[in-house]
Amino acid sequence: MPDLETKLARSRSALLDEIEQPPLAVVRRRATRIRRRRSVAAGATALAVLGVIGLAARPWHQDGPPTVTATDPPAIAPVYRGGGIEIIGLSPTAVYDLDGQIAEVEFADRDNGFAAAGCAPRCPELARTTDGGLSWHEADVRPTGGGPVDLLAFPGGHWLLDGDLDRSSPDGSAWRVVNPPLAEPQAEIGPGMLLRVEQPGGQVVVWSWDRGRLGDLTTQPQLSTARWVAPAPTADGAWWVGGLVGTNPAVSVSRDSGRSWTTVTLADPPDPTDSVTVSTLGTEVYAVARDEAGQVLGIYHSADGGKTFTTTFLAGKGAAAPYTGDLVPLLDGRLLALRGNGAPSSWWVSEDDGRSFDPIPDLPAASSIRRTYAGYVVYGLFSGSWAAFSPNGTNWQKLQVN
Amino acid sequence: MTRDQGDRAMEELYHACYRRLVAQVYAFTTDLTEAQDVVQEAFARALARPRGLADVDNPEAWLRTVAVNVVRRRWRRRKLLDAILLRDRPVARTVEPAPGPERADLRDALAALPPSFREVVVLHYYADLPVDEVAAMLGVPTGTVKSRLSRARTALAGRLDGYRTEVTRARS
Repeated sequence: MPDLETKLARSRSALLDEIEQPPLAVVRRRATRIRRRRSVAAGATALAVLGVIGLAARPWHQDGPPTVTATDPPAIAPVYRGGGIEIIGLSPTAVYDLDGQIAEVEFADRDNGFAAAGCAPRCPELARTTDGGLSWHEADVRPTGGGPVDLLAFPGGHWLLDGDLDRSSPDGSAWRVVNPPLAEPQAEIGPGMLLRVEQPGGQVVVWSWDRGRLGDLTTQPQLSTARWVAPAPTADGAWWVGGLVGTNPAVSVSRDSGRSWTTVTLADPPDPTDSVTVSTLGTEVYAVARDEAGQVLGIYHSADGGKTFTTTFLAGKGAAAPYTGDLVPLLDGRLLALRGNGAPSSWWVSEDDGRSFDPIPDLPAASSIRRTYAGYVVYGLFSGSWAAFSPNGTNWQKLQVN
Repeated sequence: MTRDQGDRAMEELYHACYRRLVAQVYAFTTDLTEAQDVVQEAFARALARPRGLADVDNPEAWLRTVAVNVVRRRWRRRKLLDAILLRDRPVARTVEPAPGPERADLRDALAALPPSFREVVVLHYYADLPVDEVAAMLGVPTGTVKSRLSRARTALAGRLDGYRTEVTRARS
């Protein structure tokens, strides 16, 4: 007997299948009728207004100085479109100076995010946005030390800045230093917690936003070594981990908050796999095997939520595909990938689950896409230190920070 | 932006967002035909604007707001008409959904839930919106959405004999 969640998921699929989408021409005809109605109404209104003005203006009297009532037209940002992808460019308002090249951008939801510059040699303050990247200001936190920092968004809009000293914030405004507890095995991923992978051992570790590192997950995925873990659970609460079984790429998924794991071993590419990442959208799951340089060795697609995978792309010996960063399953069923400084475009899409990719013209150059807690960030936009954020991979907002 | 670019942008938006918006609006209508009609109306209104949606920051959010407003306006009109014309008559369902494998029980059970429960279930499970976005869309705190989801699941399970509920953590 299926549980309610399964029943709801099936019902959702049935609902989406039932939705009929008429050609846009049908909607255009409807728009034409709306325009006609409006012009008739506007004509009638204009006649009435003219009548009122004719009486109220009292043309036989001397007028005073004219009053300006019109406002300036709203400033409109340039928009770059191609292949169904849209990037809204900078608005004419000020760009926040990050005091260094953008190293990391993280969003906890569509509005709240932080941007960090690399520490060279000192770490500048983080920049914070509360409006989806349209405006930025100095955050009340600054990494210390010269080591690597990692900015983590947690469920509920909580934050943790992991550096030589961990700092946390319930909402991104007030930060305090975190004193992690003595590490203890964790039976499950509790509400509001995240997973991270530690190298070189490949242990999967549970983290909390306000206490930091809690300890290894008791039941580890059945991988020889874990190399990657999703920054957030999927919509149905599944946690994905990528790694190796022997030398084969493999993925592991837990649907019970880390208490048990199901592992699928994937076809082995000719060149050695270094890491495996997973991108999901609903029941569509894409696993990607990468070499040490991050280039793609294999793409594996699952249409049943990860129960079974089909190998859709396997690179030949020494012929890794030069896609960098995370693949993005788009809402219309295509798969988006980026080729850093690729020609004729950085932006490529696949309509056959990764078997082949076609370039999208008319979009600015970019270097890579990285999944964040709440969406995706594209780096190296316009071949510079620009970034853009998208909750879905289709609609991007260039960030007003540099 | 030229007219051709605007037309192309609208084509792409229509292709990318239509089904998603219908699923979201279905939360408020419980009638798929009406949800489709309302979303088409929203796109028609966008097309009827002189600049299309070129001056709108978030076209999908704009379309969703328009669609939800259309639903509310129609609902108010219908309520008024009901009050005037149908006060003493038994209310009959005018549109019977076609029977389907998942409709007969679950979606009927869903339609019978109080609107506040039904909205969160459809927005979260059907429209695939995370809890915080459902909260933002309905203008209620995140905790309220989680509580309604939990109670709605219990209510649904009660209406669907033989289905067990599994307490799962709603994604934030």
